Amino acid sequence: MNEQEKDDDLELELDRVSSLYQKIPDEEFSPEVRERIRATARRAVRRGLLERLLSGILGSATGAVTASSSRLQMVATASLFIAVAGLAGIFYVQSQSGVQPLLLTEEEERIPLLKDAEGILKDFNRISEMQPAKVVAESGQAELSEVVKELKDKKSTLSSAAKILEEKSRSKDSKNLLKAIDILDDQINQLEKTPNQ
Amino acid sequence: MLRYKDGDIAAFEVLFTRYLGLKKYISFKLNIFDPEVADEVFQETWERIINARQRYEANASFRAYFETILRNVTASRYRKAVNKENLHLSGSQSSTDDSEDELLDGLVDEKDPGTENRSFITQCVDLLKKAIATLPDEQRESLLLKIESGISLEEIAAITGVNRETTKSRLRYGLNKLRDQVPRECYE
Repeated sequence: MNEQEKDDDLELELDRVSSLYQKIPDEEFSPEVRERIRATARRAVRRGLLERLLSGILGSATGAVTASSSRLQMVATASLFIAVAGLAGIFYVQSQSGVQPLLLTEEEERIPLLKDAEGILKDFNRISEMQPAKVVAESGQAELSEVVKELKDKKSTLSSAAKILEEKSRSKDSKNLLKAIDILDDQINQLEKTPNQ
Repeated sequence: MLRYKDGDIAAFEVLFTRYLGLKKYISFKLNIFDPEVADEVFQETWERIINARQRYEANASFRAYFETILRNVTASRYRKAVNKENLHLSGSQSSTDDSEDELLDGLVDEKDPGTENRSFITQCVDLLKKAIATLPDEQRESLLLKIESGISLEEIAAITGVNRETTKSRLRYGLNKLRDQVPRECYE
C-alpha cells in the first residue's frame, strides 16, 4: 500500500468514526453563559469605540487649532470636547468614592456571578469616567438607553454578588459592592435626565 | 472576526452562533462530563478571544484560531481536573486482548436490565464515548480536532505543535485503539 492509499484509508476511517460521533447527542451551553459572553463582546466594542473617539477628539482639537481650519469646525470640535470633558468631570468626581477591587478566593472564582462582579469593580473607575463620554461619542446621537441598560445590568450583577458575599459573612466586601451600586444608581439617574444630543 | 475586530457586533453574533454546538466536543476534549465545567471553559475561551481581538490576524481559519485558544484554556483546566471525582469515564479501558466477538456480546449483555431496551446504535455510541475517553491525550486531541472541526491535518499540526506526519501517526494510533473497543458493525 503506497502513501496515498494509506492516507485515503485514514480519511475513510476518520469519516466512519466522525459519522458515529455525530450520533452522540449534542448539549447546549447554559443561557446565562451565552448571554454573559455576548455582554462581554458588546462591552469590548463600546470600549473600543470610546477609546478611538477620545483619541480622535484630542487629535482633531489640536489639529483644528494648528491648521487654522474653518471657524465652524473649531466651534463644533470645541463644543464636543467641552461636553465630553464636562460630563466626564462629573463622573470622575464620583469615581473617587473609594470603591475597592473585589478579591476572590479560589473557590469563589469558580462562581460566575462573583467573577463578573470582580470584573466590573476592576474596571469601575475607568468605566465610570468613560460612560458619559460614550453618550456624546456616537456622532452626537446619544444612545442613552443602551448605556443605561448596561449600567442597570452591572447594578443587577453587583446586587446579586453582594447577597452572596453577605451570606458568606463577607460584610466588608458586600458594603463595598453596595457603594458601587449607589454610584451606578447616580449615574443612571443623571443619564436618564440627560437630554439627547 | 475581522469585522468584529472593527467594532461590528452583528458580525460577532453571526460568528458566535456557529460555535454554540460545541458543548459535547469540549466535554470530550477535557474528558470531564460536567456541564458546568464545559460552560466555564467556553466562556473563558470567548473572553480571551474578545480581549485579544485587536491582535487577531487572519493568518489561518478562525476555527484554527479558536482551537488554539481553547487548547490553552483546556490545558490548564485539564491539569487541575484530572484527579477530580467527576472524571466519569476513567478506568473503563478495555483489555487489549478483547476480541471483536466479545465486544459484540457485550452489546447485548443480559445482566444489565436496561440493555434490552437500548438500541444497538445507542450502545455503539456509548462504546465510542468510552473508547475516546480512554485514548491518550495527544491522540484524543488530534482525533477530536479532526472529527469535530474538520480542519486540515496541517492546521491540527500547527495547533498541537507537531508536524503533519506526527499528526497522522497520532490519528492512526488513536483509530487503532478505537477499533479494539468499538466493533466494526457499529460503523455500518
